[in-house]
Amino acid sequence: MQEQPMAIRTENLGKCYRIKAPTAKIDTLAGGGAAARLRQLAQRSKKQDFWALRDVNIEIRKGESVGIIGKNGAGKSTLLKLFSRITEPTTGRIAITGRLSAMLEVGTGFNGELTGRENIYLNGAILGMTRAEVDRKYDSIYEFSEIGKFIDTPVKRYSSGMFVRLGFAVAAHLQPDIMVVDEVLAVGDAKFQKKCLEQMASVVESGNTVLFVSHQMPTIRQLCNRVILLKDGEVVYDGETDEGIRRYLMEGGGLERDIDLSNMARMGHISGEVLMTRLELLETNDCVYEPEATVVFRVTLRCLLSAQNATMRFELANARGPVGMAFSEVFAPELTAGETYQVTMAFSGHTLAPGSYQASISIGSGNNYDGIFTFDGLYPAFAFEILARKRGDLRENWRDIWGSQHLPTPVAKSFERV
Amino acid sequence: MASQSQQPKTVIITAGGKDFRYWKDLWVYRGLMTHMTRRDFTVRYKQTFIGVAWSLINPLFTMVMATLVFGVLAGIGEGIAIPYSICVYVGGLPWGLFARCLSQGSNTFITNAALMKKVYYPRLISPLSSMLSAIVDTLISYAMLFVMIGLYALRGGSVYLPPLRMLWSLPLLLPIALLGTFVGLFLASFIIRWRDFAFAIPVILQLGQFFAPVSYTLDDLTSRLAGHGPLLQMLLPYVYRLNPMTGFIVTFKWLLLDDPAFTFEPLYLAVSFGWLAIFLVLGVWRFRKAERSFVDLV
Repeated sequence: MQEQPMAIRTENLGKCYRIKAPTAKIDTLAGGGAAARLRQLAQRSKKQDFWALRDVNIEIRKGESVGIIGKNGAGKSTLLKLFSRITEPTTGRIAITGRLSAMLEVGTGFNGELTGRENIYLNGAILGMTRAEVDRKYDSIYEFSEIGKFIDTPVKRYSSGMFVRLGFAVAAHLQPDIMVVDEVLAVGDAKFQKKCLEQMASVVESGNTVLFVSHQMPTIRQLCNRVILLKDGEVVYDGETDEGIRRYLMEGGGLERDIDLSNMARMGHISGEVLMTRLELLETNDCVYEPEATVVFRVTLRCLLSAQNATMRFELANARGPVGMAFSEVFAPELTAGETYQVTMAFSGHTLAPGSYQASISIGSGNNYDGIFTFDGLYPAFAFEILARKRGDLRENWRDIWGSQHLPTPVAKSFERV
Repeated sequence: MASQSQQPKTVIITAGGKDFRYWKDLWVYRGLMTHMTRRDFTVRYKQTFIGVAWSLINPLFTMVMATLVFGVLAGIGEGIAIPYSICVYVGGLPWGLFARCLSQGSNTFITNAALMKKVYYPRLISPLSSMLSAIVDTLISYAMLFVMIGLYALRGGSVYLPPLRMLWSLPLLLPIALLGTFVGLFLASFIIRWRDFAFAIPVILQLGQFFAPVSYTLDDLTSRLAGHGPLLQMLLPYVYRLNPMTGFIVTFKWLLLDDPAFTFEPLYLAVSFGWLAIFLVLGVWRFRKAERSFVDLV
């Protein structure tokens, strides 16, 4: 295959901000008086250099869809600002081939007093469309925004959802050669988010270049065929999407495959007959799973006092709250004091939405009639991540805004011509 | 796709590089300028009850105040056939335009910060578009001048008609607006670092108005200074002559007011154009410098 032409190339790109060296100082005229302020000015405050980006060398070819990921403050937004020419680099150079449009915000330059229709034209002009271009695309923008009869209402009376829809509708019709998107999909309702995602995917499909900044790894995995991972202003990984996502997730901490549980703090009442000392995630190199994977883990137990009929309780939660819970059968009718045991459990991640989860484990015995005793419990004990389907996998991806779990994949019972 | 049919161009962004692209971009983005001017206009009048009338009320108010203070109390303007209030109104038009352009220009980074932080466009578009809307406003105030002249005629006063050369005052609005805008842009670069300058601007404008021939002429000034100390007699006329707006206002008054009291002073006009040249250079230089770094500062 012939190599695609270059879309963006950076050479030793760097951006340095001068920040005030932290010192005890008077901030306003009010605190300390003008005299103190003048004295302070005379001293010339010490400045420090802060490199938001340093030595960034990347080459992005036409048709690539690149995810830019990294923790807050890693330099993602600065990089986008440099590409979109909002701020100038301190060192190095950028070569951009083709029309680049950046969506750093939805509805940039919208004016509350103007109507939806007027704002479409104004916003179009701000984003670099000519009047004729907006005229041509107006109907399509109007359709996409689903604003309906409110199109001639000043946008200050719009709900935030309407505002965002209108903003995205304009931006979606830019048809740039290179599209730069900063986390704008994190707004709007589920239906509109899906629409935005589809729009982005179509930009990718049509062979244009897309740069996408997001903290949503499922979205990155769906849209991008390459990932650039930034850390403290430097590129630490540039390559295959899955590997980039894994590294990013590992960097986030909390994802450990082999965990020493013996010294972890316990919360709530535990009776202490049995203690969990170690947890291992098996059949994985990290704690990141494909959507259809089975999570297998092994807990090492130290029995201090003999106990009967041990069961395991298992709970999942994500950032939004509890996701599900499961009780095991009795896995050990008899546990002898002084012995160490290992129990391996498995559960399926099939029905989980892509995203991060935390798992809590408790060991106990008893039933609802005689009462339940908790020997030991860890809330949470470990964390793991379920990935979204790979880009190009045509099956529907469950999105976590629809809920954390979905039903198992239905089975086609029959299919015949009638 | 339309954009793909053309050969895509490569833009090179270099650290601290001189970009000749800028002036070309300014031309490419000219459509945005008209959009922004229209926006300024619609927005300003959308929520006001009497709408466009506000562009008349401001100069009228200035006129009434000046007529009271200078005309009635100080007795300036006696011996001129044209009613003093008309003279003041005519003097107020260029000054009003200048003052508005200056304050708009000086605030351009602050009023447009939200936009400038999110989208690239040649930032000069913003002050230039607000300059255009100020010029349009001034044109509306012209209409009021004729209404006033008509009213005087109806009242039986000496009928005054502006000479035909008044048409020249229309192109004169452009250098006036440019001067205001670029003095403003020069100051804007300081305002983004030290907001203190923003508070100084109304003071500068108010002082400037008194040292400009808005409500009196140089003859008025020298005749009234006769009884005062020599320092004042020496200094004030110089301040007056060196005021960047003096030449423009004197010329503007001469174009619209047909009376021997108002003469054409080529030297004054040359001084004004000289200031304009200086501030165009200073303004563009400081503005381009500020434009590069302002996103990191504001």
